[in-house]
Amino acid sequence: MSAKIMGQNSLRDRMYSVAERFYRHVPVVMLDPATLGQLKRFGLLVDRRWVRRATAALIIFTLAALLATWMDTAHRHHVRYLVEDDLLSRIVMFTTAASGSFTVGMALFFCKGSYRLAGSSTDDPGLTEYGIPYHRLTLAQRRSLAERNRTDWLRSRFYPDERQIAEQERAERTAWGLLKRAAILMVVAIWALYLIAPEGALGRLLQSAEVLLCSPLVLTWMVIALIALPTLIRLWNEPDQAEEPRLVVDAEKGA
Amino acid sequence: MLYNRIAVLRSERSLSRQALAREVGVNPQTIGFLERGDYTPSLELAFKISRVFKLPVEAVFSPDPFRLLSEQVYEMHRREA
Repeated sequence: MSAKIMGQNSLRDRMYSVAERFYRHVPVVMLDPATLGQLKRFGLLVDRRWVRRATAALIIFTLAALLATWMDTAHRHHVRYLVEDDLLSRIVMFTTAASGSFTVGMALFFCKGSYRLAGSSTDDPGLTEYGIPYHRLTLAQRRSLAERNRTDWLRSRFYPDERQIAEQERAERTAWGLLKRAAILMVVAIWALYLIAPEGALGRLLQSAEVLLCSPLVLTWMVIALIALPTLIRLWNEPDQAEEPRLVVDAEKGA
Repeated sequence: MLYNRIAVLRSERSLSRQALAREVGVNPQTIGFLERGDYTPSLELAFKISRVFKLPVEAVFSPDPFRLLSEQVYEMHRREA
């Protein structure tokens, strides 16, 4: 990436340099043509818009399931959790929140990788880089290709380009808009319930909502939603990659 | 929307997306998005790409659809003749 972008964030630069040093000690994997073909076929299967959308839907479902579980747990431990100083209940709540956050965090980490891959097209890398099919490349060429791909991949993880930054900013704006409306609606709905609903009519729901609002769980859940939503929006909107047209002529044909 | 001739110019020069992406400091996917018109580049990126092809920026990018290069060349030759 450009020197200007690379010089903007010193912490990012330091992290990149640590990662680069680490990868220097990791041997370069040179794929044989058969394995590369299998990987490309797998990429063709996975790197599709409907798969990304299904993944986003699955994460939203996980988040919703987490919220429901927390509310239920909070309701069942309501008295002990708020009134009695029950350490076990607190530990249960914390463990639930921590494991849920970790699961969603890991899912997002791998999802982010899906749209940050450098050169993730299904084209023959030998053709696009040297004009020769991959199986005809020499070992030195394959090694050089693998090294370049690794460097590109590593840089793209740390230094997104202007399109990726613009996509992220657009997703964050959309997420902010959604969360803002959702937060306002939630507050209005809960106040309406408290003020209008007859006492005891919605006992369990009101108790759960009360616990949820008064507990650290709501903060955890909101932070997760705040972090997860832009990634989910990008997963949902990211279009499929167009394959590289066969523009680079076969050098061996001398065209 | 900004139209561009990146794909044609790459083809003429046998330049892969990866190679162009490395030259201008973006992800190869971004070149694909530019070619399909899914992304409008910044002024800086537009100038960088034009410089790689050694052409003025208006020869690579345009707010209106480009005429086919082959048509333009044919017309130019006819006028010269």
